[in-house]
Amino acid sequence: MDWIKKGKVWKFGDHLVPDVAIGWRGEMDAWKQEDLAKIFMINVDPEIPKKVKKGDLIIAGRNFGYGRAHGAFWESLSAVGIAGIIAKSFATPFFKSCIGRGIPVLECKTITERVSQEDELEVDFRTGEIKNLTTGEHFKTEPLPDFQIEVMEAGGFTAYIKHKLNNKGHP
Amino acid sequence: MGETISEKIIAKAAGKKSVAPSEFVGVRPDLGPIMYAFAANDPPRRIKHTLKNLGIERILHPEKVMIFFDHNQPAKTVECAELYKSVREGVQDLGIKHFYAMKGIGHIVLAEYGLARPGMLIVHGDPHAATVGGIGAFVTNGGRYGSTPDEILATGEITIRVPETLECKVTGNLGKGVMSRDIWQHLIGEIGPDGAIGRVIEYDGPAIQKLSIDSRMTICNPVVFAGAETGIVNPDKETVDWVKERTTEPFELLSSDPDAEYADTLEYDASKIEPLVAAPPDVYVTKTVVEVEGLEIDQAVLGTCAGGRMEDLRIAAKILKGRKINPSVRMLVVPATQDIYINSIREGLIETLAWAGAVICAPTCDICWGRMGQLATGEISISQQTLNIPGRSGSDKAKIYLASAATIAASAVEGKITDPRNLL
Repeated sequence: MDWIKKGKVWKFGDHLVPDVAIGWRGEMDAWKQEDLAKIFMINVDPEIPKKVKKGDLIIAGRNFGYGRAHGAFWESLSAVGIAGIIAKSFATPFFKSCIGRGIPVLECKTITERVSQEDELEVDFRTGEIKNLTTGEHFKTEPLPDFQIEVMEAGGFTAYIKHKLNNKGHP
Repeated sequence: MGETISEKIIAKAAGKKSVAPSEFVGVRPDLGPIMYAFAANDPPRRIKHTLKNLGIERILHPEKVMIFFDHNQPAKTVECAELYKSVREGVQDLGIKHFYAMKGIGHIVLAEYGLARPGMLIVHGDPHAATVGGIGAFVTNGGRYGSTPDEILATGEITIRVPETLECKVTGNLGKGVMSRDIWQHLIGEIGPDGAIGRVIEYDGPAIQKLSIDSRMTICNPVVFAGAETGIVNPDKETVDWVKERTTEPFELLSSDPDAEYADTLEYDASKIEPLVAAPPDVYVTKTVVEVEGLEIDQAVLGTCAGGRMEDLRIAAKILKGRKINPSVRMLVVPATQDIYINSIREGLIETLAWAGAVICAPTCDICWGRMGQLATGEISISQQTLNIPGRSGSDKAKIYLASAATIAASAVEGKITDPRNLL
């Protein structure tokens, strides 16, 4: 897995609710990726789905991804090609699904103070090193626990379980 | 140093003498993974796909796997009917004996049938399954830093990181017209939507001990909205009586030690809690009913995994007895399970509610996620459901207030949000 990501920043506030950000409709988990890309963060700013580019990064405040974890939001994240997310903190179901889906995440308590909308960052999601290429500031945050790194290196939870089975053998 | 109930249950399932917060352990669940089917999620099909990806032929412990069919039923479209058919065939292929359809909402059925019992470690993909914590079982989906329920299919165990516990102690007595839902709404109003990230919420104190099992399950149901891993209540005589009425299967009573170590302790006085609502579009924006009183409503809903219990129907019937629902309101009552439906018929509650003008619906999850009882543009609903995000129940231009059964019933009578204390 490539842990180093370089991209332009989309900045969001505290407690962003995925279901509100893209609008929730029953059974939208079954929508096609291309349709979910068209509504990415549309309720935060209708210009975002038109302007977001593959490889862009998300910077956010507290409790990013709050609420019910519906699959449609990740499909929409993947469809537009978000490379990674740094937030002050993440909501649990959201955090966990990012690990499982191989979307790199980091928690950093001061991130929204140090990074502005449209800054360009280079982030090592494995070590927690963050370089703000726009301001020139370099800083470091706590990396993910080893277990999460192991799961992401394996390529998600299923691949991790397979790896575990190969090491231990099927009981 | 003493241990919490959660630590004791995890240690037992890990085959260890004790565990400490932040420790990674492999646990063998008593039940799990438990899943439910809904549009775009056919669990047996997903299990087959996972087994194929893992290169294994069968589920290691199919007897621990449970599948509930509580969404998309009764079928409203051909797709729903096809889903049911596929799931029913799939469970047979996989040797899964525990398949429950047309019984009601899985999280409640699980406790009601004595499948979940105190002291058990239960793995369920849905965070709202924390409901079962109300009888002193520990429910997890692997948690924030743990693995996924799929791990159990292959290895019989799941890796979890032992969470720390937030103690929520409630003293005093709930006032007239104030229900357990108001305790939860008060708590999330106080701690906020990230107030318990990565922690277990353990409710205790004299006011919690006085709560019925219905109420204890209600306060454990939504803990994910404060970021919590799960919710739990220490079992007591009330729990034992409730469980023994439903099963002869054995269970072990585990409880927190008096000197258990908590990450934090919060204390609230139940007598100071008023009837509350969650104001749209968020579940954590807490307002008193008095603050929003008089707001005209179009729909009133009792039901979902966060409501529709016996005590909810009882209080609604008490308020509606001899009264009529305001003609401008559509009131929908969804008993959470088939057993609750039967018992509420026996008690005469259904007759009272229907006579007052409520429409009684089949036990299902569908009222919560907008598969039935949808709202039109600009409409306002007051409901027991779990979520009030725009579009959750029909138009994304409708508003959903979340409240207790008492507040909902009183509001249905008046046609506007109403303090239930005025009608009791």
